[in-house]
Amino acid sequence: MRVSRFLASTGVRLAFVQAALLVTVFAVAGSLTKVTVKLIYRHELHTRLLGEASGLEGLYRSKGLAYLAKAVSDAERRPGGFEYRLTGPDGRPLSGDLPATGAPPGWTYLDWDDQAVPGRPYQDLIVYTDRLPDGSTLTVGQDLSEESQLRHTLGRTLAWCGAIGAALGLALSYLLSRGALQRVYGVVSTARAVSAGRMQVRAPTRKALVPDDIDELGATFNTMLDEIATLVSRVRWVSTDIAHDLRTPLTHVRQKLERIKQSRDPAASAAAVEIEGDVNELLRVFDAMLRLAEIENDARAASLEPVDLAELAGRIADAYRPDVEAGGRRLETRLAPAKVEGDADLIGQALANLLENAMRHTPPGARITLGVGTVDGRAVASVTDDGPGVPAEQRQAVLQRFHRLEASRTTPGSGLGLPIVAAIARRHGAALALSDAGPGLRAALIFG
Amino acid sequence: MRVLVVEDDHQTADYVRDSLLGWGCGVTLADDGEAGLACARREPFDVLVVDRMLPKLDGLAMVAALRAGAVQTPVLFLTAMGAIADRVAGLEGGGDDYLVKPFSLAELNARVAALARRPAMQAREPTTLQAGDLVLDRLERSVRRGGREIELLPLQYKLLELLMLNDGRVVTRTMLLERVWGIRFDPRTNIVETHISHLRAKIDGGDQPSLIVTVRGAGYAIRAR
Repeated sequence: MRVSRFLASTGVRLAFVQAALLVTVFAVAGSLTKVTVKLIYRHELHTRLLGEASGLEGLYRSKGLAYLAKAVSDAERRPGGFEYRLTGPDGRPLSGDLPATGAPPGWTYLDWDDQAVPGRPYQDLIVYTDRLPDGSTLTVGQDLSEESQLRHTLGRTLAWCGAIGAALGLALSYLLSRGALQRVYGVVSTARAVSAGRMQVRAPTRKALVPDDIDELGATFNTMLDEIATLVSRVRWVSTDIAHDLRTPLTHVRQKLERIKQSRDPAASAAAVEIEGDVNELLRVFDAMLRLAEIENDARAASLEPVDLAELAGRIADAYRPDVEAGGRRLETRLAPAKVEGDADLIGQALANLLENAMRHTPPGARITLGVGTVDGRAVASVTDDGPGVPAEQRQAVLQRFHRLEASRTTPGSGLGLPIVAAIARRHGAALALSDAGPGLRAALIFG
Repeated sequence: MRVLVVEDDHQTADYVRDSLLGWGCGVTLADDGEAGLACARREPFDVLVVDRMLPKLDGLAMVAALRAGAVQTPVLFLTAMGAIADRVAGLEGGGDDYLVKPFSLAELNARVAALARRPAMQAREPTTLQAGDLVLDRLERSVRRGGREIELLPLQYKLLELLMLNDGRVVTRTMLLERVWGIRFDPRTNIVETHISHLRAKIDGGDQPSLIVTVRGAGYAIRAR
């Protein structure tokens, strides 16, 4: 399976949408969590700070300011504790490390980002300031860097969880969709094979206890193909019946003519020869039509075998060369190895028709080149001439039945040569490309 | 040479019979697959000419039944259907050659004659072929005429070999196309004629009449005078 097709498949698109949704949900949940954690943390901090402040105020009430100052110094030294500042009624600092905050009584949020105190890298602080009855001020605060660290850690954890979740989700969707995708692709490749003319190909089915929608798709698809196959074979029977019905009387006509040709009456014999020519021409067009119908309708019976395109083209060229040269034209071959799967007789006919076409529509002295090779991994067989070519706007039209360019009305031909080549190309899943050879026409069979 | 013709269209069957009789063959007619099968099992024939679409027993089934019974008589299928599917089915189903209707009687005669000779040719693969003073050595792949070495292109050699193998009998244009070039369609050009004239130019000397005779309306044959 190619990467581009894989990426373009519905399953993979769904997987990506799922992953994106997951990441979004994680991001929203993560921000909500961070906000909640912050609120809880702050609430708890407030309670603890208030508790500490009121405890210290209790000490002041019972033991006095001097005792409070000592208690604050002790508390300051406890690891992991709060930050303090106690100033006397005159505003003189009594104890505690906090610099002067200038905060009014109550809660204050201090952003000291820019003025970090040496040794105590305060950044964000939350402080509670209490004015004591004698005019002293007690400030209890907490550095918020712990909180921001907590939030960062939380954020990182959530981000990792989100990434891993998204990756797992992608992988899981990939695995789940790959199986389904391959089964869907089985139906797709069947459809391609059928449209390329291999009517007998069916979509792979599996024996499932509970058939899922893809099983149903495959089964329905196969039923449809069976129906089409029946219709096609009915059409084929109709056309072979017509062939039979027409060929039998034509056989009789021909046999009678052969008998008359041997008669002793020279006038009758000459007339018979003349009529035979007409009948043969009629038969040729009729045969070409039937052959075209058969190539188009009867793709089911396509016999596929490995065909050495270069060898086949060489054989056709050898067969035609003396004839091409007898008409004063040159036939060149450029044959590089190329192999295709197909019906060698039909591909041979396609090349021969293209050659005959080139012979018919070029003046004596023209050069015709039969080329075989591989271009971009595709086998190509082409016939190029340096004749007058076909105007670009008429190239599609010459592939239609019985279409003849105005200029070639007088040259012999059934008008079915190129349509037969096009039908043979379709039957092989190949393209018939007509292009300007500057000057001349290049007709190329490009195999799939 | 004895030929069994299994054909349900009486007019065609009669023409085929008359034509083969004219060529000195013994001809038996059967008008459906079952009669044909019974006949082919009962009597020895050199060649069977069998229509693909037959009442009672289809031509393919008839030949399959014969082959299952180890009857190896060469079979020429006549078919009114298209060539592609039929050709494969016919040849895989035990047929040795096939002819699409409407065919010319000359074509039919030439093919019947070639088929009749096949078992003998297979038994005795000649290494040297000769027509007058023209000698083709199949081991050396060389051609000589009266001591004169003749250089031939591979296709010309193949063409000459096929004509000489048929030893004076007519080989038709379509037989040549099939066997020399592997072409199974009707080319609208003179491929065969041109190749024959090139071959004639090489093997014939000066003002003598050509060793390769054109049989009008039928094909070519090699005949030493």
